[in-house]
Amino acid sequence: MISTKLRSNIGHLVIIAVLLIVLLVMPTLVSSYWIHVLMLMLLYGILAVSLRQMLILGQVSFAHPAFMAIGAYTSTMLVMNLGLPFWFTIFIAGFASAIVAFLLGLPVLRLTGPYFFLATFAFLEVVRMILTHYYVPFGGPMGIYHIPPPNPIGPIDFSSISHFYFLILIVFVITLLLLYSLERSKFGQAWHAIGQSHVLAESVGVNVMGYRVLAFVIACFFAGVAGACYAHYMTHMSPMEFGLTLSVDCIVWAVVGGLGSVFGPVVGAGILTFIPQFFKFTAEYESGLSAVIFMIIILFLPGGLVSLPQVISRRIRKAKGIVTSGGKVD
Amino acid sequence: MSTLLAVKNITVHYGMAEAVRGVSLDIAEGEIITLIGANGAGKSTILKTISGTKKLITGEIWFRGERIDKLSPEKIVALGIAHVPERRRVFPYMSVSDNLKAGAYLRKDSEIGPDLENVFHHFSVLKQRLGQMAGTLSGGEQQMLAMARGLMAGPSLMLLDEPSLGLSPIMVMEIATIATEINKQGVGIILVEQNAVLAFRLAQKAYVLETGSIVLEGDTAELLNDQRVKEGYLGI
Amino acid sequence: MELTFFLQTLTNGIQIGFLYVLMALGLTLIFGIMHMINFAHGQFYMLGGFFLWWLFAIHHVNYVLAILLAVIIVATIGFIVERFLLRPIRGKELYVMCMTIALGTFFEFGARTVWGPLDKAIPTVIPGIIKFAGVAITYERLMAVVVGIALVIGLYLFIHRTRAGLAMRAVEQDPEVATMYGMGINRTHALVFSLGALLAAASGTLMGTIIVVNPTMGTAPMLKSFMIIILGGMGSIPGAIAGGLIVGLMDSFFSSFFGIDIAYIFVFVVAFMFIIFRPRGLFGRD
Repeated sequence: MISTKLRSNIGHLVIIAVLLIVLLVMPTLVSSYWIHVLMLMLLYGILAVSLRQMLILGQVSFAHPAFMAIGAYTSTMLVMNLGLPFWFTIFIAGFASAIVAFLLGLPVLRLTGPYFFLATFAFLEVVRMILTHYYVPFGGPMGIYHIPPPNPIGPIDFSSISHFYFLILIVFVITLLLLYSLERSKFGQAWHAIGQSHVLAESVGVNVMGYRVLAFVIACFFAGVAGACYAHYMTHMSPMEFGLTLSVDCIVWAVVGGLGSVFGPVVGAGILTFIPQFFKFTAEYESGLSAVIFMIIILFLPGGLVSLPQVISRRIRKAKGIVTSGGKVD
Repeated sequence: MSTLLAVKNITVHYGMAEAVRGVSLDIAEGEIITLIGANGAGKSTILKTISGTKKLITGEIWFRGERIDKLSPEKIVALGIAHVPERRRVFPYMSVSDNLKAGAYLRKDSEIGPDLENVFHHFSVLKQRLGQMAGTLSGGEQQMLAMARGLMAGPSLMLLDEPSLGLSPIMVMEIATIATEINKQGVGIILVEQNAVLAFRLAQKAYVLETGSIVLEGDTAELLNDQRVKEGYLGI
Repeated sequence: MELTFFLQTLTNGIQIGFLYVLMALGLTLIFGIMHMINFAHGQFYMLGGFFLWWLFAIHHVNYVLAILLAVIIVATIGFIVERFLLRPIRGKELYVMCMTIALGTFFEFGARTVWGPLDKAIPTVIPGIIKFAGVAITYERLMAVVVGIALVIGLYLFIHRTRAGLAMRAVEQDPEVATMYGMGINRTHALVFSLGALLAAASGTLMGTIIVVNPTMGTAPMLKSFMIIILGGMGSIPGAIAGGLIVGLMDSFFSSFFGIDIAYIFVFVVAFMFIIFRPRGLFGRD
């Protein structure tokens, strides 16, 4: 008899395998427009899932787009001004973001709750303003145009959109794998413990600050990498795109998708990017509708969309009288 | 004498852990009883459950013939139970007089005059410090303010949680005297104390608590002669 | 620098400052007592302005009455929001934050849908300018300052001289003990949130009269208010007053000399420094 845990793990693997196959095959099935949408879904998925690292710690970072921008601008400027190859600069972009995250994190990660969020928000605005104000390296409010695509590797010359798609898909899969294994490791346990109660964790000897810095550096690394991919794909970027709206969006994607698992934010980012494209006629009502949906999820499905199967099965079992709610006291 | 408060077989949890199990006690009108026991034995939890800040898992609490364990703290204080918390917890950034007003929050302005007089009679030092910020008072003064605040609620039962904590012996004596005077005016007192000597001096009845359950109970006069009490709590 | 120019900039700064003060007061009360950041605050401000416009400019309700009604309507909206959307998730910081973010989006969407995205002007009630010492200020702006001061004084009296204010202070300082003495959290939170919305709406009505009203007008002042309460001390009323005036003056002076961009960055950099080195701000406790 296969244990339920093993069964659910196998179930997960099957779902993942199926999704992976679907994603691989997609470009041949759909038009370039939808490939573009898919790429955004994957890119935003990377942002959302990396932000989740901070959210489970209880630290809401509004600075994520700023780190995406750091990655984007770093890679772009290195490629355009120094002629370095993208395959090199994508990593430098990630590390640049990581280093800035480390420097920012040291003073700021001590703070909790509203103080942390406000500090990251201040950072976001300062970064955006610097990028907007200085034309000379950054291109000012217009941003940078004609960002070159990555250098060709063999037959893959990025002349077609599906080349970009596979690039982002690979980055996405690697990100997800890394974050998934971190989640399952003792790092993940420590992070969740800190998220539950950092006071308690501290009292049992957990190096709370160390874990926070680690999470922040990792999260911002991926934001930077995503930024680099974004820049070289879109070929144009401006500081406006890395502002408060994107900050809020990342948080919404992560929470709506569900913070309980690594796949939650991916689902959230995917669905919330996909649906407005699908239902074009609701464009006017989009912000109102998504706000209402968000409120409903917060009130009635706080675990996010990924918790839906769990919640439904628990309801069914409760209705059948199988599960007793909570624990019984003797 | 009629029963003022009866706690019947209560169990209270702190998170997943059991803090209090199967505790029963009662206090008659105008009596002083005491709960003694080591740190973490569950004494404060019992008081919090009585005043409604913590909810019990099983059991009942009756006050003057009315069941109160399902009521909100606001209703419980309105019924006449005032909780003077551990470590005093006066409102630090409010004046002494505002702290007193806070105690009388649920009462009509017209009723509190005599109680205010009474409070100043017991705690004359507070009268001189009416405008002072409560957080700047000394430990002893804060304890008096906390008790005065409790009195302003016009209670028939006062829950006094570790009043001697951190106070000098002289201060403790003063508080003890005031507590006795308050009791003589008809206010029942449930005194939680680690200082068993003080507790036994003030109370007529005692309950000894260990890890959440009552291990010994009886009149203080008799318990004073009990070997376990003498060794474990009176240090004799 | 010319004295007149200095005085003019100073006057403008104080006038803007008072409107910031009103918003910051609401935000700081909500933070200090409910321990949450209200991301919908800017929209309460915006709705205050819009309801005033709708009542006064469209339906020709008496101006003073229109302001009162607009403010009361928004306070009521705040009350409903707290009761049904915030109370169920009280204590869960992340979700409370997300809820107010969603509300903010929703209110902006609502205003845009009902009233359209364009600027709306509120007709001037007291036209004219008063001049003294070479400084010019419109009667409207003067009125805004006067009303602002009156509200601040009123708030102080409310908090320190009324029973409800006593409960607010008690809940802020020790919610558990406050509950023990009948000052319930439910009622206090409802009051505080409504009061916060009221103050933001008041600021919106006054500002709307001076400038214009549009659905996006709330975001920038709210973001500035975040920085203000950091400067002044989150949860501190004197802090909100001092912070609001200081930022108003900084706005006015920096804009005149260095341009709006730099002024904006400066506020954020200063706030950032405060968060790192003095999180309790100028007047905060703890």
